[in-house]
This record gives sequence, C-alpha cells and structure tokens, in this order.
Amino acid sequence: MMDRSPLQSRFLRRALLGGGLALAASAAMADEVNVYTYREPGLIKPLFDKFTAETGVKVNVVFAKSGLEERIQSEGANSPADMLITTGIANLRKAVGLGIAQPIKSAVLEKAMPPALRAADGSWYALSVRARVIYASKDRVKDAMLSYADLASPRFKGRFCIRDGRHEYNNALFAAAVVHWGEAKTEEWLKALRANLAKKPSGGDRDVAKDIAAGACDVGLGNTYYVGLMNADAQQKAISDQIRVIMPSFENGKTHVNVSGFVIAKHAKHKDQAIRLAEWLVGAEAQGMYGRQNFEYPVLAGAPVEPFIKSFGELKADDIPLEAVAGKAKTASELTDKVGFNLGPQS
Amino acid sequence: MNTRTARTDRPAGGAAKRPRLRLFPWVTALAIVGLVSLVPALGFLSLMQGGAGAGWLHFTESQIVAIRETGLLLAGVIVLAGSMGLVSAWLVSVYDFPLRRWLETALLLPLAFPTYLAAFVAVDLLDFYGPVQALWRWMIGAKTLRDYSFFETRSLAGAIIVMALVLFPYVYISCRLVFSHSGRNVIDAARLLGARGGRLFLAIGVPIAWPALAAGLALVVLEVINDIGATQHLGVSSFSVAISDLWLNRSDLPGAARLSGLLIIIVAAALFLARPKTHAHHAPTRNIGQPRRIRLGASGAALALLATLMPVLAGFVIPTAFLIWRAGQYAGSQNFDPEFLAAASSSLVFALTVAGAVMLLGALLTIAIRIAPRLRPAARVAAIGYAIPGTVLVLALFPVFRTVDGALARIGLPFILSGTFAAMSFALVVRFVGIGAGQAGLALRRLPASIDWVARIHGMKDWKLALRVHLPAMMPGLMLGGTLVFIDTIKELPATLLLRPLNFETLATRAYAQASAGTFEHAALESLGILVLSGAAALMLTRQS
Repeated sequence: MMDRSPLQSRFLRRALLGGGLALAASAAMADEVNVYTYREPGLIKPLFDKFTAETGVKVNVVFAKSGLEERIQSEGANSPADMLITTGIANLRKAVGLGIAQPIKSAVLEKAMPPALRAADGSWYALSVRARVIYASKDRVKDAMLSYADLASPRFKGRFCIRDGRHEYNNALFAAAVVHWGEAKTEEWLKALRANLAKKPSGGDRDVAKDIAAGACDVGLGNTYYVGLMNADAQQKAISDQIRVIMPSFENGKTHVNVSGFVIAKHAKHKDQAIRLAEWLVGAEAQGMYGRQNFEYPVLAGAPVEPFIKSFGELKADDIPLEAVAGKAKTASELTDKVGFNLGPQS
Repeated sequence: MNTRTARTDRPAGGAAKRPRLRLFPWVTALAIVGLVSLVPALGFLSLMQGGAGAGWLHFTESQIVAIRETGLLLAGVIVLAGSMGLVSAWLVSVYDFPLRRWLETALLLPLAFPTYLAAFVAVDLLDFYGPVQALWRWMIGAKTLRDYSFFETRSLAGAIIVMALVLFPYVYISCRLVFSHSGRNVIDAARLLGARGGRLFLAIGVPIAWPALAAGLALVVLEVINDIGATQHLGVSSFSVAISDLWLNRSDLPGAARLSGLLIIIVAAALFLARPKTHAHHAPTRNIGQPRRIRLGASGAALALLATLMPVLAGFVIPTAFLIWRAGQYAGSQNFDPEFLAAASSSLVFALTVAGAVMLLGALLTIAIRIAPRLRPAARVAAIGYAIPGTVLVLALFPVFRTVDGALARIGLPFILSGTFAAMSFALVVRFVGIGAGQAGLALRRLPASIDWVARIHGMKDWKLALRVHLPAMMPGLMLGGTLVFIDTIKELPATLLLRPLNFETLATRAYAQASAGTFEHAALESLGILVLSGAAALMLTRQS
C-alpha cells in the first residue's frame, strides 16, 4: 500500500471501491486507531510514527483548529473518531459537556499522573503540561522574580507585549486569575495590563519574544515551550538568547499551567487500541519525546524535564482544579472585552 | 442590469404569446438552489436555536469594536484594491509601454497568495528580524527598535495593505475584460472625439467599468470578511474573530451563528445597494480587430510601468522570492518529505473536482435562467454560500449531514457524510457556486436574446439551443468562474481543514498546520506549491481572456 501513488490510496479507494471491498478493507485494518487532534501534526506525528513502529497499530489522523467536537457530535454513533487530542482544558471540558466522550478506567494512566491532571471519573486525561510564563529582556529587566500581579505595575507602562487576549492560552490564564482573585480584581488587573501594553495584542507567542528581543517591549507572556523551540531553531536562537524566562506566580506561589490532553470518543470503534495509544503516550519514551521535541513538561510523575526547560527554574504548577479554570473561560472572555484589552494601549 | 435584460428578453409589443411554463428550467434551478442554498440555510437556522439568547441586537463592546475595525478594514481594502485593480486594468488595456504584455498576465499572480499566507510572509519580511529592517538598521547604524521607528505590519494599516495587495486582481480581472473587450468601442469613440489622459479615464473609463468594479469588489469584500488567519495575526479585531470568541471561549455557538447571520444580512444589503446599474451605453458591442493602444512618451511610460509593476512586485514577486529564500534556509535541516507530493496531488484533484462541479451547476443554472428569465433571482440566492464565513458554514452543514446520515441508516446504510471527500467538496461547492454561476451568467448576457427567438422560430428545441448556442456562448465566463473557483479551493482553509477525511492533507492544510504552530517558514515548500498551482491557473485566466 505504501508504494501506491497517493492519488490511488487517498481517493480511489474511497471513491471507487464497492461496499464489499470496503468491508473487507475495514476488517483488515482492525489494528488502527483514528485520532482527531488540535495538536499540530509537526509535533504528534513523530510520536504516532514511533507508536506504530513499536506496536504495529496504524494511527489515522485529522488535524483542525476548531470544531472537531461538533464534528464528532454530528457524526454520532457512526463516527470513526476513537480519540480527540486537544491543546487545552477548555476543549476537554467541552468534549465532555457535549457528551461525545466516555470515561475510561486505566491503571496505567492513573498511576502515571496525579489526580489534578485527569478527570475524577476518567473522562479526560492530560498528556503534557505547559506553563504560561513571563518572557523578559535579559538586558533591560533585572528582576529575579515577578508575579502575574507585578506585570500590572505602572513601572511596566509601555513595556508589555502579548498576543490576542482572546486566544485560548490567554483566555485560560485570565480565567485562572478569576478563580484566584474574583472578577473585580481580575478586571482591575486586566485594565492595568492593557495600560502597560507597548503595542496592540497580535501575532503569536514567538512574536512576543521577537518584540522583546527587538526592543519593542521588555516583558511579555508566553508558553514555556516556544522559548525551547526557538532555542533549538538555528534561525531563531539569537532571539531566544535575549529572552529570560521568569516563572511568575499567583499569591499561592504557583504558576498557571494548562494541559494538552485527550478524551476517548463515546462511540470509539477501536477503544482498546485508543487506550493502548494513550497509555503509550504517557510512557517514559513518549513523555521524553514531548520534552525533547516540543519542550513541554511531562505528566508522567518522576519523568525528567528537558534540560533547557529545566534551566528556567523549578515549575510549581498551580493546583487549582483545571476544570474550575475552564469554568471561568466565559467570564474571562467577557472581562477581556470589557476592559478593551485588544484595542491596545490607551491613547 | 435586471431591468434591461428583462425588457429585452421579452418579445417587443407584448403581443407575442407568453411561452408556457417549462418544466426543465424550473426543476433544474430549484433543485440547484435547494441544494446549495436551502440546505445550508436550514442548517444555519438550526444552529441559531437556543444559546444564551442575548437577543439579536445586543452587542458587547468588543463586537462594536469588531464592527468598527471590520468597517475600517473593508473601507481601506476597497479603496486600495479598487484603485489598484481599476488603474492597472486601464493602463494595460489602453496604453502601450514597456513590459505591458508581461504585466497584463503578471497582474493576476498576487491572487495565488492566500491572505493568511500573505500576512505571515509580510510580518516575517518586515519585522525587526526580517531583511528589510536589517538593511535599514545597517544603513542608519541602529541596533534596537529603540533607536528608530519603522512601519508596524501588525496593524490595521498593515492588514489593509497586505489584503489589498493579494485581492486587487479580482477587480483587475473584471475591469480589464471591460476595457479590452466589451467597452473597447466606447473608449475608441471617445478617443476619436479627442478625449485624452485623465479625462478619458474619469469620463469614460470609470463609468463603463463601474459594474465590473462593483462585481470585483464584491469578491474582495467577501474574502476580507471571511478571513480570520490574517486579521488575527495582524492584530485586527475583525468580526470573524469576535464570532469565534463567542463560539469557543463563551461556548455560545447559537450566539456566534446569530452574529454571523447579522453579518450576512449586512453584507447582502451592502452588495444589493452597490449592485451595478446598467446604462444604455453599456450595451455590449462587438469590437473588430486588435485594439489600438495609445503609445506613451518616456515619462508617461515610466509612470505607467511604475503603477503596474509595483502591485506585481509587492503582491507577488517579492513575497515569493522571500519564500524561496526561506525554503532554502530550512531545506538543509529537513529531508524532502514525500508527503508533500501526496498533498500537492490531493490539492489538485480536490480543486479540479470542486471547480468541475461548480461549472456544471453554474452552467445548468445559467441555462435554466436563460430559458425562463423569471428565475433570475435564483442566481443571487445560489450565491449566498460565499457570504457565510467558512467555519460557520461547516458548522451549519453538520446538522444537515446528520439528518442525511440518519435517513441513510434507516434504510440500512450505516454511513457518515462528514469526513468524506464528497462532503468536503459539497461544502466548497456551496461556498463557491455563486462565482461560477455569476461569471457564466455575465458571459451569456452578452448574447442577444433575439438569437434565442430566431432559433426557436426555426424550430430548435430548448435542449439543442442550450447545447449548441448557450453553452458555447457562456464558455469563456464558465472557464473564468471555474478557474477562480480552482484557485479559491487551492487556498481555502476552514472548510477543508474541518471536513477532510482522516489522513487527507492538502498543501493548504499542511502549510496551515505549520503556521498555526508559529513556524510557517517550515512550510515554505507547501506555500510555494500553493503559489505554483494557483499561479498556473491564474496564468490560464489570461489565455482565456
């Protein structure tokens, strides 16, 4: 099958083969698992390839940016989806809320990660952890420590950069702030953050790092792994070299984290294989790949943190329940609106 | 335009017998409109049900901001793309200057750039670490952004320029058709009467191009409104971003659907108000022989060259050269991926399928309207899909697919539509059928209605008339529409991304996967593939016209 021209394997099989042949084909491909994913193929494909090489189970993938929950819901009982991999707690909660997930029991998964990183009923599990931290200019910011609240200090006026406040990473951080501080204080904080902006929120986390390195601003918020990825990219190392990562915290002394995770689809046809894939993904080898290739923190208790990421300092992950954070996504979005966050610095 | 054709379609004097209601055109037109408009519209309505119920006309502050920013963005792009398209079409059609023949073709090439890709390239090219600012720093001896200020690409102005640069060819295509074909004789007559230069352009060029300008700008407007990748990257709080915020962060899909419903109504109203009003002198005329172009003096030629070369350089040559350079930078670090070729052939087959289906439906609908002119509004209704933002369209199709799946299951066919090549193609046909039908209709309208009467008087049957007379007459428009749809399908993202089968990758989905991880430069090869396929199609456009 590998030698076939892509045209044949992609289209003709689907379009031309009759029902009988299709049945035979699906029987022959029992050793496969269908994954819908919000994680970019660049990261997960090496993981899946390795899994296939080790187990012989083929992983079929479709990547999208949004709407996969709705797709699974619409596909109903005949959905080919076995597993949905997401980039944040919000999608995990949405999938569970829409009733397209099924809780699973797995001793391996439960043993691998602490309860904070999985649903109590087993309806979702985390696969990797990322922290939303402060990027600071090595030259122009001398503070050894900064908290999330410090970013709102007037001394950072005109010195702060961030991507769109409605992006899921920021939305989750702002939602965590609502959980910690309540609405009123979070609104004040967002207002002050907006006043500190050097430019209109735009670009991605890498652009925040670039802006800091270029001198457009001095501090910003971004996910940990982007600094690692830039450091590993020959073209961008010069940029990350000028960035210092500061682990900020809320009053409890802990840093906001989010997870990438998965649910098993309610109507999964290859449930066993999906669980097998999930258990493999939290195993030592895969967790090491998450670190080496995407510079994320492992969920596997005791697994080593990638050395460059480790150099940022110890991560004390916030222990407020992730589902509580996801529950405040709407409030966070409304507050972001209310303070006009995306309008950029007040003129 | 309606009034004129409606008048001419009917035999003069009203004495002639009204033709009986023909079954074929009505059944065909209603079936097509039902398939591409009614079906998604029903899905869309079901999407709007429920939700927070904040009411239709309650806007949050950010939505008001979104309306304002989208308005400014649209105004800017309309002015810039409109003037670039109109002026360049005028210059290459009426004047002769060095490189003119080459530019006539090259002015189509920016169309090959998807807006999101153009935005990523523009930022990469013009930001602090790009070659432009590096050169500028070297020239003025600066080190960081604190030493100098530079144009901020991630801004409303940046978004206007980037989008206008890749969308102006829509205006250029339609205006050039007028200047070098249907409006040729009017221009020649005005020249004989002594009109020159700016006066010729303003008094003759602009008025005769007005309908074409409006048609081209309508496509531009819809592309801008549908965009989410470019505007979000460039920091513009557009309507699409507000819609996706409602849906994703506030879990309010019905609210998001209502907001896009409102957007569709606004756009439809605007397009209706701006629809071209045809005047008598626009009646198409047959021009004989090659147009004689005005030979320009040295300074005039230099200005004309500059005005037509700049959009090509900025909208295609420079960004493409930059992409090639970027592809070269990363070529060493990764092996050539064989899946690239698979994605390229998927893109090709997919785009050909969608373009073919659109041409077929467009031809049937246009012929039906020709035979039964009272069906004319059907063409407009069929075009509604283009006004629905891509992601929302897919979400609206999900309930439809589900209903069909349910019906299939009841007759013992456990089958699902979403995730099939057919469903994905259907979504894009819904989105783009208006382009195909619109262009075919424009082309067929140039054929005088009297020809139909003559044919009928001689006993020609409708189907024969359609096949032997109408089809050849509308072929240029059909090909133009098909080619535009081909290019749009190669570039299309939200519907392709969300509806595609497992393991199905196109060049656009691969490029987007990298871009969304913040590393679009790793997909420079895919981006170039998109440019090659849609650029080749754009070049075919010139052959056709």
